[in-house]
Amino acid sequence: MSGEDRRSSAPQGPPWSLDLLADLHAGVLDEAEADELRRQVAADPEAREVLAALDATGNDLADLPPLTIPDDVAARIEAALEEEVRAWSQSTASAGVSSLPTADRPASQQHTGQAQVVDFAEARRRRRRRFGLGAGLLAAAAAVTGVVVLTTGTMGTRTNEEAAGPPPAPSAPPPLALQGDQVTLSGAQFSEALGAKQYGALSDPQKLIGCLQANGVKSGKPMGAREITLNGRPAELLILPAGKIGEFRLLTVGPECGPGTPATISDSMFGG
Amino acid sequence: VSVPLSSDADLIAAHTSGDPHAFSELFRRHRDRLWAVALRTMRDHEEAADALQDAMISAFRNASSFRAESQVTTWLHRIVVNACLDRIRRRQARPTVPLAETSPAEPASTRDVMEEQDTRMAVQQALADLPEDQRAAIVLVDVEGYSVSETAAMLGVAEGTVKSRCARGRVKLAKLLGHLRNPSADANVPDDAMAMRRREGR
Repeated sequence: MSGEDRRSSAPQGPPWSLDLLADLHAGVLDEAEADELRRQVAADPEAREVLAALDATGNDLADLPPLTIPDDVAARIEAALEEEVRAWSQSTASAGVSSLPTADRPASQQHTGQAQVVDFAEARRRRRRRFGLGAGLLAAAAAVTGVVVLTTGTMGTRTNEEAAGPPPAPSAPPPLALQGDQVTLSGAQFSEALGAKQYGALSDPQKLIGCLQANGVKSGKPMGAREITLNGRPAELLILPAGKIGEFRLLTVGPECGPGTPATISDSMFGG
Repeated sequence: VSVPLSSDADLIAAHTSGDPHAFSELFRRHRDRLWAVALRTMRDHEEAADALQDAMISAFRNASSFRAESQVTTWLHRIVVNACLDRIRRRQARPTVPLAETSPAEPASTRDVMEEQDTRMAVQQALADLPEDQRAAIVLVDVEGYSVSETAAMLGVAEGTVKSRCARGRVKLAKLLGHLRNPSADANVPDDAMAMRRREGR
């Protein structure tokens, strides 16, 4: 039988091409063609073997075990989402709007169509700007006092003390009681502290910036601040980016920490 | 802490209304399956983590583009798959790092643990050899168990395209996995030529 003979009619065989059998197996063919082919294939042992091989392949794929997201990846993404919420809080506080940017973002920033992915390069640039040294530290300070600072990336921007309303009254949970030579956190404790803004003795932004600088923090800003006690001693735990995916610096300082006074009690890592 | 909400759509609505915890809750609900799709599509742990993070930030910011008539999971998966494919296309020139998948679901003792693990490794390696479009379709349909229509919505292509990509991908996998022991016995007609004749014959 030549190829010319086949051209004028529905697929004929045997033998059948693998692609044709795979199309039949995957439901690509229209119903009439599939019915006809199925009837012919039923009488062809080689074709049945191919279909069985495709079934076996499907079974192998279905037998792959379910995967669980690693803790470090989950923590990192949760932190990134926290950062989004924080950035939104700061921008909406200055704009006087109360809903998330997803609801009220200007049309120029919206992406039309369903489920479009944003410009990742631009998203990364935005994230990087927010993590810049000057902007980061000032924004952290602003978060304490309720003052909103535009993250211009320059150190020239000053907080406006007069514009600051009273600090929000935190419904603060009691200090986290920890024991040991240095601070170690469980996953649950880390998650709770990551979003906290319990600055306690470091609520004065100048004191906070001085404290961070005295501890060698040159970039980034606290991703969480939590009052703790370590072996019964009151302290402030600051969660800082460690510069590596999934790793966080747990800087713990005494209440006296400030410009020129590191008052470091513990400096450990989480994740990684 | 968010008030417990009953559906994913409720969480999206809460998020767009300003609930700062709603989106994180949504992520926690679906993170394992989203991670599985990202890792099996990207084949690289770090790149999968980057892609998933980019995707979640994108979804966070663009939740208003979610259409109520579609499933939230479909929408999230689509964003994750797009983020992965976007990264794969950008890294085309670089070689793929072999993936060692680990899972707490590994059986502790079965009669053929070693053989089973060998098979899994072989399947994972074979998946890595597929073109990314076929791999994404196969991962969603055959590994994760989504329907063809759900997968079509996730990939943003027609259902026929999903079926066709799965068909091509399964043939390659069947050969790589040794289920098709003698693929050269397939007709004397090359697949491409045969496909051409079929199209002409319609």
